[in-house]
Amino acid sequence: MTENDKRKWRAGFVLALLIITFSLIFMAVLYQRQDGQRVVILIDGKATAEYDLSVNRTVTIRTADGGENVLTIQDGSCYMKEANCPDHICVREGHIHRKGQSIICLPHHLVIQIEGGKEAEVDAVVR
Amino acid sequence: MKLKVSQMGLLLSVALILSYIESVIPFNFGIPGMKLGLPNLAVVLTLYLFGWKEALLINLTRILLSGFMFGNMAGILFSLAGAAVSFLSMLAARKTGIFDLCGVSICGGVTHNIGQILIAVYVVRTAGIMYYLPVLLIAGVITGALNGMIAMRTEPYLKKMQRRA
Ligand SMILES: [Zn+2]
Repeated sequence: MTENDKRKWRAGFVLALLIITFSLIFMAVLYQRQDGQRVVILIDGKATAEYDLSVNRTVTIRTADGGENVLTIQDGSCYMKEANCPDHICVREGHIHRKGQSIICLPHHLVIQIEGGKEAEVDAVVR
Repeated sequence: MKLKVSQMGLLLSVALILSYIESVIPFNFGIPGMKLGLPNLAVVLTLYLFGWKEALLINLTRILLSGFMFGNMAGILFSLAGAAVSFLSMLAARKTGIFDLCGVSICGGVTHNIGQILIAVYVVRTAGIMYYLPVLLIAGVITGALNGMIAMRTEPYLKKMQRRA
């Protein structure tokens, strides 16, 4: 390997290291492993409903063009029980309970997002 | 000329096989429909062996063919978004002259995942799913480095064949 080759190889190595370090720091800040308290239903980016994670229930979310997703909230976590989307990726996603986590159903433009407890009252008024 | 055609055919089949493999590997870091970006191996190799036009041709052909064979329209949309961002970044990274093939491939791997998460954000119009970005960046570095290392080992052999012909 020539000196130039080595320098170019090192540049790639440094880039990889930088991205990984940056991501790990970002993760340490973002993923606080904090249990969420509410689950917010977003259709096309608009919050249409929110539920308390501590109350067990099953709700059917209806999206445009006859889309239906059945969300079950159980013991502080939630999962997509059923859906009539073509890919069913949202159903396979399994349980989520940490703040920031989400279940996405791309075909239905639907996001189920776990949030903390702080803004509960504000959102309740808006709703 | 004959050799170029056969090498391009080989690279396209590698790209298709890798597209198939990534379509059966579940890559579930929160964003549905995401792909690992394995076919970038063939794209980056083509870029270094022949140039950007040939690489673009391989890239587009494999997206369309694999999309119709192992995917659906949504899959093609995701692949296109990832591939477009990744391809342009690789061209730019190569142009700077700072990186070798492996570094260029890492740029491609990382930006491939950025492109895919951006299209997902666009589809559901919810920026909150960027939550999964850090994991995807790390995954991009790993795939990019892996692709790059394999491509770097392979490139001299294909080059040698070209010189001999
Ligand atoms: Zn779904």
